[in-house]
Amino acid sequence: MQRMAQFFKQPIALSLGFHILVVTLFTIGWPFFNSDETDIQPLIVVDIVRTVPNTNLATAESGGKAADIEQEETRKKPPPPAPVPKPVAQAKPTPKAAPKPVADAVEILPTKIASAPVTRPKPKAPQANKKPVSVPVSRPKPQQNKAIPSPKVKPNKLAQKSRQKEKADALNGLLQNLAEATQAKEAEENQKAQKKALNKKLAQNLTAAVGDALKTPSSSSIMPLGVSDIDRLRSHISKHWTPPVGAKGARQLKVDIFVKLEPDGEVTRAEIVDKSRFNRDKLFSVAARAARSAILEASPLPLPVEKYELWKEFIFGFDPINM
Amino acid sequence: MDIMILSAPVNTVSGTALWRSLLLLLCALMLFVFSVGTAGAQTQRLDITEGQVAPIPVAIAEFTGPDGLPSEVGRQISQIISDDLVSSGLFSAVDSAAFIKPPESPSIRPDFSNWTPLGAKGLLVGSAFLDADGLLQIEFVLWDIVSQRNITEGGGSANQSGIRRIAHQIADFVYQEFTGDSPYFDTQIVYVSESGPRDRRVKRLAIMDQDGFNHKFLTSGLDLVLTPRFSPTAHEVAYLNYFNDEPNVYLLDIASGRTERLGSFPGMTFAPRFDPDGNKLIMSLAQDGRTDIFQMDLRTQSLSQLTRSASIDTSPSFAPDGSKIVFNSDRGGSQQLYIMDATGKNVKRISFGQGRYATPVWSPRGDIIAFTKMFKNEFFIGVMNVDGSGERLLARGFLVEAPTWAPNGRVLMYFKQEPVSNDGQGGQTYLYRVDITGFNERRVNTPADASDPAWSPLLQ
Repeated sequence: MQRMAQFFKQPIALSLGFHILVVTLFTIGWPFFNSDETDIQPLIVVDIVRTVPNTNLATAESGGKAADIEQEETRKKPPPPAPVPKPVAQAKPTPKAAPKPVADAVEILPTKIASAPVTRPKPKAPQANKKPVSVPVSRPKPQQNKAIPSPKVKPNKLAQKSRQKEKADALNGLLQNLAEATQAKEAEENQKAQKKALNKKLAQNLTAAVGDALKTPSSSSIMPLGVSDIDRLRSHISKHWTPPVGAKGARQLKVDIFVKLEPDGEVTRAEIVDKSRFNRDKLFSVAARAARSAILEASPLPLPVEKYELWKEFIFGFDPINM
Repeated sequence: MDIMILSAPVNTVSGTALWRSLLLLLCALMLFVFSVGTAGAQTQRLDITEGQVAPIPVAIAEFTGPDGLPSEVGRQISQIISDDLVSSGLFSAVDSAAFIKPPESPSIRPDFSNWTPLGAKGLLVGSAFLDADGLLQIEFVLWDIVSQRNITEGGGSANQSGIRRIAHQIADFVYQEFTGDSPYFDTQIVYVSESGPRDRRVKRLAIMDQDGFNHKFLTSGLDLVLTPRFSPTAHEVAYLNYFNDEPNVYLLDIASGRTERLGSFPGMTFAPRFDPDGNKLIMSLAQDGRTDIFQMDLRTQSLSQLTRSASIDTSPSFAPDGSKIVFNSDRGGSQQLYIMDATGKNVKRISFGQGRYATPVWSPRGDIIAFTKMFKNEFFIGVMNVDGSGERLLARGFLVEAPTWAPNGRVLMYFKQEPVSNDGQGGQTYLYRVDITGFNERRVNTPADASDPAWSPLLQ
């Protein structure tokens, strides 16, 4: 471990590490961020939840939308005499048009929707069916299968309407297209606004994360104790230290005291490091007692709490060489 | 609608803000790696090289009797201990009036919350009372108030006459535990007591405890006496005695009062001092206009000459290990300090300062030498390293002379004479002592004028 630590302390090793890190990030990071944007979607979920109730409330619209899709499908294939079975048959390909988005939507929504839509089904109750709405809410995957049936139900209604108002189809189609166009425009605008908001939020989150990383009081990221911190501490302890000066050899008596501290500077432990000498050398034991007393009397020690990780354990060397 | 929103590609999500943030993140990452590589999670270290040189506050409770109340003898003992410690300059006694709850017995652990606010670092608790046989029974415990631990404890019994000595010994315990130094309170001083008019001065040998108590005279005053020196056992004193106007070195047994002249020489002998073993005596012998240093074997009284010069060599003092001797000589033109082997070889001058140097005394520690210095009509008491470096002057005066070491080498005693005015007033001579740091100079009380002190080793 020590060798590793020494290796990491070498400037060349550090420089090499940084370069590898930077190159790795930029080579792997570019494609990652460009292609896998959808992965960000989970973050979008929070905001999208708000759209769900709209979706549920506007079941008719969505049904209309589905109907439009169906109509488009039917337009593409006008001849089909039996539109009912075909849509069913084509119902599978229909979702294929946007298979993943739907799947993604279903996968993302469940837990979020569960709270809101479940309370709202009642107004929808009189409508077509509850199952397509409620089931998918609780079960994402089945929803995939049952979301498909929903178009099944709606095409039936459209088919009846189309029989009653065949002539109005074109007009309706136009109106619907117009409505669709405006809705799409609005949706696009909303989408852009949301994207902007999300971008902003994401950027803010990242900035905050970076800021937190810089501010986090870990031992590795904290600036060392400043000169003023050390001077204040040294001066404070010196006031309480009365070493046994004058005794022969006292000036050569250097005593180390291991100290454990609370964040408020309170000394919780003060131990003489050289215990064996403490037991056999009278003069040393006196000097050691004086040093330990100085620490205990000086408690709490004046140290910056924001750098606690740096000084929660301290060794004070009491050296009367200048006395 | 929702499907469209949900399925909408987010290709345009990348913006400048995003990349700026990513760049920041990268920087933070680099900073993290850098700090891990350089800082690491190590225990901080700080050296404290300056502290306070201040008296250590100690609470000395009055020693109690069997009833838990302070006894008369207990009060006396506590006072002696307190005086000893305070006189050293290294301790201050916490005022007993401030005690929140005086301790009742040394066997009861004190409530430290009552003592911490007083600022005391040590607490001495003891009991002292006379038992049915009239013997003094003593127990004591010394507590470290800061760490709340028992530092040392002891006890014993003694005759009532030994109260002061017992108290000095307890003070020695406290001194040793807090300074780490060997103690000196249970010691004595022998000195020359002076009385009478200046032209008919009476000089007698006297002895007392280091605090001035238990004073008594050793000689009658009929003969002039000078330069007394304790033997290593503190049972004997060697001194210069003018008997029938003939100065010679004598040996005095303190207990019996018996005196003995050491040899009979054609010239004058003076400035005696014992070797560390107490088996030999070195002194000066003046004859034929020259003064040399001689060594006498006390068992055989045989004499051997250590120096041979036409100058005055005097005031010899052994190193504590007996290997070397320091003395003063004017062989270089002025009075300076020299060191030689115990055999008299390898003479080397160590003092080179301005003025004259005299009466060198090797410290019991062996690391420094005390001396008297004369410079520009003033006298000084100073110390220097054995190689002559690091000279420091500790006291000055019209006349300060004859330093002597406490057995721990921490305190020096000397005498100081006041100048005599034109009307004949003044000229008093007193004993003083000073810490080798130069602080805490105190006068030692004596019944009369005093000079030529000699500090005993620790009593046995």
